[in-house]
Amino acid sequence: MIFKPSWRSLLLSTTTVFAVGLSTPGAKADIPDENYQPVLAHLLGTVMPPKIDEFHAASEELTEGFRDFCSDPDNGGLEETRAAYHAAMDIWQEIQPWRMGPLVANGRDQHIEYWPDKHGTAARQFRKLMFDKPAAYTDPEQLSGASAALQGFPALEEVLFADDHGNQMIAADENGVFLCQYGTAIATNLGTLSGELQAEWPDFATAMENAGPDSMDYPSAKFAATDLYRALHEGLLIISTQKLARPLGENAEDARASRGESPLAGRSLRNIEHNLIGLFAIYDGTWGDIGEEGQGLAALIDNSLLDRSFKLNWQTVADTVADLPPSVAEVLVQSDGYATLSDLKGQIEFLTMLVENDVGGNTQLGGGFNALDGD
Amino acid sequence: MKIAKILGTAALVSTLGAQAYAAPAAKDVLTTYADIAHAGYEDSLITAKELQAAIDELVANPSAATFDAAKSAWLASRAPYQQTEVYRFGNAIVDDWEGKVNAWPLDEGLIDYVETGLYGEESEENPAYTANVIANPTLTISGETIDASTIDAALLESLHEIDDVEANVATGYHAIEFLLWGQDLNGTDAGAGERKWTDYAAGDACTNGNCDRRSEYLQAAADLMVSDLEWITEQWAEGGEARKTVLEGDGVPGLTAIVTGMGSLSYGELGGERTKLGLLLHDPEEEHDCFSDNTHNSHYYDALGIQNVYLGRYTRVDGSVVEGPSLSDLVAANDAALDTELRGKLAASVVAGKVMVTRAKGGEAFDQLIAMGNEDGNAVVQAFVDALVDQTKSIEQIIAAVGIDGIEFEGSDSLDNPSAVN
Repeated sequence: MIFKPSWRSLLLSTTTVFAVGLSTPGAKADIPDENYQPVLAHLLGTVMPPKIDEFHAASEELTEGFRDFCSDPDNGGLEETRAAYHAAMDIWQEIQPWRMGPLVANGRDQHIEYWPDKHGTAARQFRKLMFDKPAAYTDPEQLSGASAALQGFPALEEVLFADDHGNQMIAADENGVFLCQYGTAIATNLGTLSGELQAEWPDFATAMENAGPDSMDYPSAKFAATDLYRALHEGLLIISTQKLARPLGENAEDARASRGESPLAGRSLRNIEHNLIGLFAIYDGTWGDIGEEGQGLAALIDNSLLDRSFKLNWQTVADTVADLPPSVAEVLVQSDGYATLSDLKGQIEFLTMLVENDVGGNTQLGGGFNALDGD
Repeated sequence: MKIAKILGTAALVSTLGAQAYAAPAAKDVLTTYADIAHAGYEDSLITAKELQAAIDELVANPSAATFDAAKSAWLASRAPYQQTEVYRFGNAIVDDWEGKVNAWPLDEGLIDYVETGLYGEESEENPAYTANVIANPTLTISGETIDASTIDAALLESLHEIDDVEANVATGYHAIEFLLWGQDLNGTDAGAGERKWTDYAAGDACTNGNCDRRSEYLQAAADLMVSDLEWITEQWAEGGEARKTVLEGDGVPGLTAIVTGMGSLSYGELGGERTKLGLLLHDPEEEHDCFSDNTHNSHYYDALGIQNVYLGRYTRVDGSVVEGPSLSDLVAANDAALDTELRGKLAASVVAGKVMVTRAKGGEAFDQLIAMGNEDGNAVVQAFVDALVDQTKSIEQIIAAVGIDGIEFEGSDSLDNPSAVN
């Protein structure tokens, strides 16, 4: 794997920090359980709720946009609806990696976005749907009981961006009328799902913040905080092993942009950019203009050098993604496109390693190698 | 499917030697575990040979009667095999091998004709999606020309997972199942695949063409499955590699294998990929035995297999019983309450599986149970998932109770919160 010079130099600087950590004599004392409570309170009680509100608002705007477009469909309306889709998808991609509590309860995250679709289920079910055009799929309430593959963002992407669907909706032919009604139902259902998430989150956050011996669900604050660490770790793993590895395939000849996330909407890499924003909030405690720097998992790390290095590395990766086009397809057509994406994957894997070793070890939340106690 | 990560450590092995006197030795527990594995694979082999004979009879004398007999033999062969699935996770020798006999799900268009209106003509993921080996003596897959003029075991092995696509399943139970039942085109309505016996008829009576090549494929697949099952049975016999591996060392690796198998099958594989995913998608294509509508039995016997290895007791196809010192005995000696709890939960998942079997016998198969709008049926399937998830939490506690550490169970995106049991 070829790393860019700036990336390599950061790798070296972090290795130095890692070595310093290893040289610390003796094992560190356990972090008191009460130290985890402010982190839980900040991330779950302060940082996340406004973002869920934002997601819900974006979903409702998407629904309104769809209704307006379908009442008198034209090209301008289609583009506005696609823009509303992107806005809702942006905030969803930031929330998506927080895989815990109401976000994953009853498969809610997968109803919002069923991906990856390893068996090609969505395409098969969508083909049948367009053949039968059942009325149930134009009713948001009935749609909520349908296949997860037919009721979230990927289904909406199919309606808005695939084949000739836009033209069919503008032409208001038989397929177009159904697509408009179905798309509106999907958007409405997304509003319902985000509203449920909004309603259920406060109780979950309170339960996590009150973790302790009296709690039935979370016997300690550390136990509760483990969910945050796992979300950070798994979020990075999903980016490298699914969002990048799937389109990259085994080699350049095997690479296919269509295996990425949101390929029709041309935003596979834009999704990763927003994933990183949401994930960094878990570490740092800031999410846009929400939150306070250093009040995430970083608050548990008593090593300012390591903290600075970690944030610098993260920023480098975030900048790399931001500098790329939004879609994997646009990168792969470049002469060095495959190498560029492979390099990005390597950078994400490096961040994952830092999370395992440095964040996991210093917060005492990870099960992997602990850089400080040297075990 | 990724292999469950096992990080067994001997750090806490002293626990094994420090429990109450009533506890069995780890080696004795592992011997029972290996004995049950050997019996289960031997039963799978016995029933596979009966299937092989029935298929030979079908090919020699095609008729509705011989066709139904072959299908009955296939159904019978699933009962012992599914009880061995708990050995897959945690035993690398089994996991490396099992894809040859029970790979799933499959893109059946690789093998034979399909109804492309619903199945589709092509797949982004699979260049061999509609290769149709039976109809095409010469195949071109990803630019490579393959001579398929002779259908034999070697050809099937070369096609299995061709192009590194897992859905290219050319061998094993499900390839045979497809050749006996055909596609289930009933969606979530009642009914299994409706292949006619005349797909194996001679001369003008042959339907859908290439009956001779279809027969060759079916026989080759059956022969291959028998030889594969012979091999794995030998691995669990006295002196076999699988048996030696679980019995070697201080007992920790073997106990780790048992717990990993129980947890991974309960949670990620059976609870997640094979059951919850189907419910999430309301999709009959996501059912394990999708051509024959035998999924209720497959799931039930999987759950029973998990219980078998914990209790150290397996009832063979001839009615005899293999039993001995068990993991349950070992857990009970260290934590009697946990043993009682887990016995109860394992029994509950078996009962939840039995409810699906009962519903199927009443005319409501798994694909109907997971149908959109079938709230009562969905609840039956969800209860099975819940029981499996619940037992996994207790299985995880075995790790501390018997002094093993560092196990990760197979996860699943389709379950509510995979991290909850990790």
